[in-house]
Formats: sequence, structure tokens, C-alpha cells
Amino acid sequence: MTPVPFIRGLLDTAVVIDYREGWPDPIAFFGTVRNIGFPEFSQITAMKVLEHARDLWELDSAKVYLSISRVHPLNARVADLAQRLLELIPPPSPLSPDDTIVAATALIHKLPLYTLHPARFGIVPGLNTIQPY
Amino acid sequence: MNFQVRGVVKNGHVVLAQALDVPDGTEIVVSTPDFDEDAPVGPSLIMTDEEFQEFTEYFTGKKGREGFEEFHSRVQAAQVGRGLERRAS
Repeated sequence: MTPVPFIRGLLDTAVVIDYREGWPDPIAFFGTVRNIGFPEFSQITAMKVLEHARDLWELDSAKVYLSISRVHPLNARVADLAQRLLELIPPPSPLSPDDTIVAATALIHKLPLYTLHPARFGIVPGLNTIQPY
Repeated sequence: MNFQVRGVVKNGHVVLAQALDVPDGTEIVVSTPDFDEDAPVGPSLIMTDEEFQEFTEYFTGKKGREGFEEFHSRVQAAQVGRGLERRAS
């Protein structure tokens, strides 16, 4: 694998869950992220990480993980833009509401999105996507 | 009901420039004028590279759970002077 030069960006939910699963590439990627800052993701991703916990220990460790990360709030501005994206995309939409919340967060903060599905997110106007690994 | 008023802090309490025409018990939110509702939250904990590596081993199940509480307490106790305010900007 050729390492991607890291620039500050928003991490899509699947990238964060991949790290949680302990796969080598995402773990190496998160090491790179830490070289320049903190993992950054949407609050909807934070909620997915918490939802992913299978027991209380995993929930506690997920909370510690969130405490070392930078979480972008899911506020009214993000929700409004996410809905507008869904109104804009011709059906059937390749993006779920959660996906559009992540995309809207990246757009509002002018951050590229690190995603395992750049083609899927390519339908969002103005969104810069990067495949992390 | 949607309003915005200005006030000052006096002895730790907010004193408004005018009385509010709302029922007693109505909950309100106080924020600074430069409050940014888009501002990200965190991090609230800084780990060294070694601690992050250890955390990753716990978080991904490569290391047994029994030492995690002690690990977390150790990291929390080591926060003083880690420059959170500098890296978080």
C-alpha cells in the first residue's frame, strides 16, 4: 500500500469503524492522522461508534476514543444542508441521510472527506473526497 | 418565542439590560457574543504516541480488558502540561 500524504480532513463513519475493528491499514492511517492533529468526524459518526459497542466495556472505551477526537456538531445548519443535498440528488440516492450529514459537515467546515466510497460521495457538489487506504 | 437580549455578568450572575417578557420557569441559554455553534468539541484528552498505541491495542481487542481502567486513569493523571490548548486550535 502506498501511504496517502495526509492533509486535515473529516473521517467518514466507515473509516472510524474500520479502525475500531483493528484492521492494519486503518490503524496505520490513524497513526498518520495523529502526526498532524486529531481524528475529526461528525457527531453522527460519534453516535455510530457508540452504537457499535457490544457491551459496557466497549461503550466505555468508545467514550475514551471520542475524548481524544474532534467531533463536529450535528446542528441545525448541518441538518438543513444535509436535507438540501437529499433534495438535490436524483433518486435513487446513493447516499443515506447519515451520509449526507457527514457530507454537509465536511462542506460547512471546508474539509475534504476521507471515505472508502469516493465515487458514491462524488455526487455531492463541491465535496472533495480522498480514499484513505 | 424567539428573542435575543444583551446583558453583563455581575458577581457571577447575568444581569439583563431589560426584563424578559416570558413566563417564570422558562429555560434559556446563555452564551458569549462570539459563541460559534459550528465549533467542534474536543479533544478533552491528550495521549502520547505510546499511549495511543496502547489504547489502540485495548480498543481493537488485541490487548486484554483487565488493564484498561488503570491505563485510562494513568492517562488522565498525566494531562497537566500536555498543551491541549495549543494542539486543539
